[in-house]
Amino acid sequence: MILRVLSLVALLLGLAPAALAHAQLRAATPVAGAVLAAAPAEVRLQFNEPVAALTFRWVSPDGRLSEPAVAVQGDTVRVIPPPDAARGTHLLSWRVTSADGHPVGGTHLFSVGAPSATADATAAETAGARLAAFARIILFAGLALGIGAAAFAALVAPPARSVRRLATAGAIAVAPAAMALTGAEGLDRLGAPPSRLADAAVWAEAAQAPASLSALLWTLAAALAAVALVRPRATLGLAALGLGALGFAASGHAASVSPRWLTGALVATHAAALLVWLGALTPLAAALARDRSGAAPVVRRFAAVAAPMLALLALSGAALVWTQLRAPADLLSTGYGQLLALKLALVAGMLGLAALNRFVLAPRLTGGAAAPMRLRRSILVEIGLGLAVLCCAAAFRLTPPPRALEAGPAPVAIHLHGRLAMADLAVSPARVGLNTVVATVLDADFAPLTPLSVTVGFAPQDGALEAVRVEAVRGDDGVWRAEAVLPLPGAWSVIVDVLVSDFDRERLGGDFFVAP
Amino acid sequence: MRTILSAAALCALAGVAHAHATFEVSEAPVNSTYKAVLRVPHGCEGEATLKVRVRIPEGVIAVKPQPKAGWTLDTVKGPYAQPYTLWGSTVTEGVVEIVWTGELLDEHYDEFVFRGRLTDALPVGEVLYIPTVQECATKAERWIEIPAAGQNADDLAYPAPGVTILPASAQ
Repeated sequence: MILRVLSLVALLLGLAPAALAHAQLRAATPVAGAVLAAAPAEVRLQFNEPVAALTFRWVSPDGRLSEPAVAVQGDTVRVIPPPDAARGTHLLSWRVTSADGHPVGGTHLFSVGAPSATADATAAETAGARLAAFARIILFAGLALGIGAAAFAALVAPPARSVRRLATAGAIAVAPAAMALTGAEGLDRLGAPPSRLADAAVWAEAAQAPASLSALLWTLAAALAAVALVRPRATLGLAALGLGALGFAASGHAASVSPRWLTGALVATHAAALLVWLGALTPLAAALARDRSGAAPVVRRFAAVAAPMLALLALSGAALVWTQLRAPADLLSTGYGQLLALKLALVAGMLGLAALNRFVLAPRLTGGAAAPMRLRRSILVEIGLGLAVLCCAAAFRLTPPPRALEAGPAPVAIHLHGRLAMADLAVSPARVGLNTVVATVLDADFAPLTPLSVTVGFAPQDGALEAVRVEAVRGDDGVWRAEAVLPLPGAWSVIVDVLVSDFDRERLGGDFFVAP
Repeated sequence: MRTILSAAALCALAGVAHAHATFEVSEAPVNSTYKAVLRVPHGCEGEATLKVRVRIPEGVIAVKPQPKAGWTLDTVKGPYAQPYTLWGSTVTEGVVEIVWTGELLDEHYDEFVFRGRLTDALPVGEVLYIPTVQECATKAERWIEIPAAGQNADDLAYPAPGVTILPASAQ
């Protein structure tokens, strides 16, 4: 029976048409890698035989993905570029099939005006990043109100009912703001517009962002604070303070400097002290308005708590600034430095007011009727400055610190191991745009190997585009180098074909992540 | 009925396989002499093929290529990894590479023939891949990819032509 099948198959094999072959791209206009003065009216791909179009995708210089109009005539495919073809590098991903039914795909790249520059760290401000910064302002204000009031209740005195109500509202606002922050982080990582907020891919991406952990911790902290405000209990308030501070340490520029345990602890301390200080201002102002005679002991108790808090705040802040700046000149010459300088000026103003309150206005509290009002007004100004400080802290998200500018984007290192050969790859900057690949090729026993050729292919893992293939060139140092434009952020696969001899090829594959 | 269906399915796959450089007879029993007819369907992306090179894998011995009109025939001889017994005598070396030099236009088709003994060192039931390279003026088509475990030759862009080794009783 099996034999009969086999002989039948053999017979059919013999009869099967032998002339069929995969379609091959023979010519393209504009040619691959061309730099044109103006956008072409069409892109023409000519194959060795008649083809049918399967999938055509166009990636514009800004990373926008569109499906261009395609007209097929025999062996020639004409692709109409999107109407507003901007200056920069365009990439056309094509997939066709021919008589043998086997789909064949590739990418075709050309530039209008000049090739797009690599997306650099200073251009990190996207719609997602701005949304994230806005969500942070709401979050920080909610945290300062909610957790601050709960901590005030635990450390100083129970706040007035009106303050408790306001603080509870602030704590409740944290949950939706944290949600918005998480979504915005996903958008930012994918470089996607806010209209894609309902996209599952955005949220899957957001789950990978460190800020999502912060958002989760802040939501939990705010929930604890809300409970602590309704049923006052010192331990609950302090737990909310601790969790909230941990949320600040879980993500951000400052907490990502190594050694992380140290910078993380500094950030948590800084945040805890700030929450206690800012959070105390509203209850203090309310206490002064409500009960002028009873306010004096509350103010005294707060002063006892505030002194060590301000010391912690200043010390941890100074240490963090030192890790982020290269030189004092950075304060004025970089965006991050200017923002930091503004924040420091605001904090200095707050400290000045605090000193005025502590040493001039508070001692006079029992003196006359006007004194509590003057202290209250001073505290209200302090609250305004505090809000401005929170806005600055939220906006740090939009500007990379000088430390990051100096280091440059870190290359992604990938080690690939095969039967005949292995390769150590470094892809830099592993961001959308032009990337450099450096490959050191060794044989499977770690001995130097000089292959006949090294070809590197990149393909997005979601299959949105065909593979981008580049031939690596061997340098005098024996290291293979290639350049490739990776037009979309997200998870990519890299495939390295090492031609060990005329008849032996090792195919090595790995995964990495392309940042927006 | 099932026989016909599976044969049809295989035929559909075979149609795809013809896009590549392949052997006309895709299976042969172990311990037999196999006549390999290598079919070259096209050149290198438009360029004419100037050289066809075949590397003989270990376990295939006593290889003799068939001369081809208009083509120069060369062989590279070398030692085998292990000695083989053929008709009572021990064989330790033989042809390890065949090179035909000539010209085959991209729009033409041709076949290249050689014979060899499939020794019992070859695992029965598995495909024996025979890497083949077409060299053109500036490019090359390398039919040298061998599917990894669990991979199908159809998944490869340039699979090496192969022959399935059948049990000796199937002769």
